[in-house]
Amino acid sequence: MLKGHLDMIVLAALSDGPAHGYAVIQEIRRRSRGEFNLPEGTIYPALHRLEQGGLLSSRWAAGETGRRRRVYSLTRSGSRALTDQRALWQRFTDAIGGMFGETSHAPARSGR
Amino acid sequence: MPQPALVADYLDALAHEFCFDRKLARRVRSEAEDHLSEAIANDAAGDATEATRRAIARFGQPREIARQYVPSSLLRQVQQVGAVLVIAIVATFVFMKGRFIWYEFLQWPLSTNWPGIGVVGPLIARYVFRAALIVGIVGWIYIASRRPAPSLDATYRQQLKRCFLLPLVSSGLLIGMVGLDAILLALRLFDTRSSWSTLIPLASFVFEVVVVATIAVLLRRTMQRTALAASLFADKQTP
Repeated sequence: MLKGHLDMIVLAALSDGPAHGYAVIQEIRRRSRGEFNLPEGTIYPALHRLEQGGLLSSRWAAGETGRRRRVYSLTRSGSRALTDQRALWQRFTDAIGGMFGETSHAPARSGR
Repeated sequence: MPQPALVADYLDALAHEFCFDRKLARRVRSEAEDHLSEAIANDAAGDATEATRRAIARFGQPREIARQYVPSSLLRQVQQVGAVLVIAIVATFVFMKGRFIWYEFLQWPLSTNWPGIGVVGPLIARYVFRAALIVGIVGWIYIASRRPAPSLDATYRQQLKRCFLLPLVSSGLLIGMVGLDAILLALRLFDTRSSWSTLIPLASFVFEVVVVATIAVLLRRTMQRTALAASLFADKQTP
């Protein structure tokens, strides 16, 4: 299930600002409170794909240790896509919440 | 085993799996190196070798990582072919048109010894070129409208096949047209005494051949890379 939403998760992890791959993984782990523990190498193909799709842009930058690292940031299309995905996800979770809510109330109603 | 050797071995194995895209291999290697250095430095445990092993294990299997890059890499390669093909079509048109303007300027008609070819040849060349242009533009629009998928599922494979077939058909038509052009030019030069004025159509034709050869080489390279990428899935039932 997580694999199907990887693009949205990566976009969300970059919503606070530009970050390199390792920082994106840390951010995903932090925001999901350790629930999303993906093989770390799978984030990079997703970053590359999103960049190719125009949702992210990237550039090489020198890190604190002087090592070159690729820093990713959301493009305007990426921000729009994230907003759309967030709205869609909200509707979905509301609907699922409603389904579970009805299921839990159903026996009480039938008992009346 | 010292810790840098473990990382170097892993990075070599990772880069080796990217035989289908050398440029991408360099980028992935660089990013993985940075990632592993960061992960090892942030590992709380004291043993550097164990920290390295853990970081490598968390990063994942090289082949599995390479497989995930295949959909976007193949699309990028056909996008390049599509763009070069459109440039090749425009360049061929310019060279072809330039030659005809030159023939008219010098009032240099095709020999009357070949009346049939003189009429039918240019007509066929024109229609073949138009077909190459239409298929090429359709292909380019189709390729440009594709977005990289997360996996090589059946739908995406079908799309990639179309992305490759359209430029292939267009290039085939373009090569056919250049072949026909070669015959027409040879017939024209056959009855003409060589002079500096013959160098202009000859030079423009050579450029046309170079353009078409570039496309053929690019297509062949893309086919080879696709085959290499497909070999990554050979040990996997459903890519």
